[in-house]
Amino acid sequence: MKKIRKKGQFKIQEMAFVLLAVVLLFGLVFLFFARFQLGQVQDVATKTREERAITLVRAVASMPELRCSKSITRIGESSCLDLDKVVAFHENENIRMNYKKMWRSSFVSKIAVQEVYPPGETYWIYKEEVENERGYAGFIPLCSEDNCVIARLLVSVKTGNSE
Amino acid sequence: MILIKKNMKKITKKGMQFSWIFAVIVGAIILFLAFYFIGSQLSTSKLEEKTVETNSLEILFNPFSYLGAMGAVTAKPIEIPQESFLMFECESVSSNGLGSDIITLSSLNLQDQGLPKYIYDKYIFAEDFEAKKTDGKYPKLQTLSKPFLMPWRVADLIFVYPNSKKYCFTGNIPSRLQEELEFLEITNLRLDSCEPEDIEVCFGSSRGDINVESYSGDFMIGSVRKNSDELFFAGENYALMLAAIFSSEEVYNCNLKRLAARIDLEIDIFNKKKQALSEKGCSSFVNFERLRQAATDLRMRINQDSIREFYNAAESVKSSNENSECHIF
Repeated sequence: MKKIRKKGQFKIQEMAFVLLAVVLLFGLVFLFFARFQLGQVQDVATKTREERAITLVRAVASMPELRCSKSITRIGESSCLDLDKVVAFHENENIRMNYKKMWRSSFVSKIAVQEVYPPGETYWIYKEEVENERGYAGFIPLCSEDNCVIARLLVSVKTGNSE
Repeated sequence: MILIKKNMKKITKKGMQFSWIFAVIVGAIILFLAFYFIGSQLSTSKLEEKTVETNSLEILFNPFSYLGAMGAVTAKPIEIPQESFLMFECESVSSNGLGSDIITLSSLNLQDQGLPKYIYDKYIFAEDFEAKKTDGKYPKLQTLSKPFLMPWRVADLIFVYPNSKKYCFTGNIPSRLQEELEFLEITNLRLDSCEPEDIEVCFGSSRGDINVESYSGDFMIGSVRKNSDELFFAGENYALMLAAIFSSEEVYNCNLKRLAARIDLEIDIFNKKKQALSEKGCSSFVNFERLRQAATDLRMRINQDSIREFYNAAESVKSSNENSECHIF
């Protein structure tokens, strides 16, 4: 009887170990697969953000909130940024915050206008500190009523899983 | 039967019963997990696919959100890779924000749905529709864009409808609008005669599927009647009128409120510009407060009076800007 009981106990132990091994094996496979899937989804997300960022530079430059109006060009809207409007964003936190949701939804972390020729000020349209970001830039005239300078419009987007 | 019984006895005798039970239980668990995993994987991949498609579609709409800065009206068909059901919703402005449009793509049977895409920087006017393949070609969406002037370019409006839907405009069409649309040569928007399957948009009378009524005689202020809904519009370049024609009532009214909120935010920037100009010794008589109030009223209720006041306030701002020494916009 004792022999049979010992054999039974051994079988139960054996089963427990096998079950544990099976669970561990499947767990590892699942973890590996989930990591692979997550990487793929992150790649797609980064690619989509980059595609969006490229078109965003033009979209930002043509926003009525920043674009030169008839008051500067005399003929209608033109492809330049209005210095007074840019300064309004730079100096007024409330105005910047009004558009925060719009930028955040596009994963934009920074929008800046840098005077490059002649070199001068950098104006912030939006600024959020993030760990990983990638910048896209385009050159555009920055005009006031009496003169224009060449400026660089810089749009940075969050990359990876930076928050 | 006798053979099975004999075999069972043999198995029991040899102590194989335990192993069999174990194998069956573990096998069942493994099979269950495998099927569950494959099933969830399939649904996740479909969700991912539809979500990526929605995001790509939103990127494709990007150029339409700034083309208004260059032209009066723009039209281009957009191809999507799969037959889909497109849902358009709009989230109205909560407090001092911009509100958002929401696009969701799903399969035609509505079983596989992607994640909704919230869009804060665009104003998309559309009705829910099925985008189906025609002649084996990819489904196409017809996309039009027109700047919304009130009185400056507030934003660019995007109108979307499936290529399979055909509109025809009849009656007393405003000549400027007719010229603009003729120039674009949109295949599924007729401006002369109607075919039986067309959706007839009738200007100045009520015999069409959609009827456009003018309160001002020149269609600058008016309403669009479709089904039992009445959508009020105003504006010098007919952008809101087209928006009302191509959009559902919920999406139209919600986006109109979002536009009113955007005007409110833009007034803050123009006030700063006015202040900057005045510091440089260049004065402006423009007072935005009436327009701001009209925009706030429009966000509360949209009716004939509020839309009329909205338009009149914008016209007043426009004329005072033109008469000022320095223009704000």
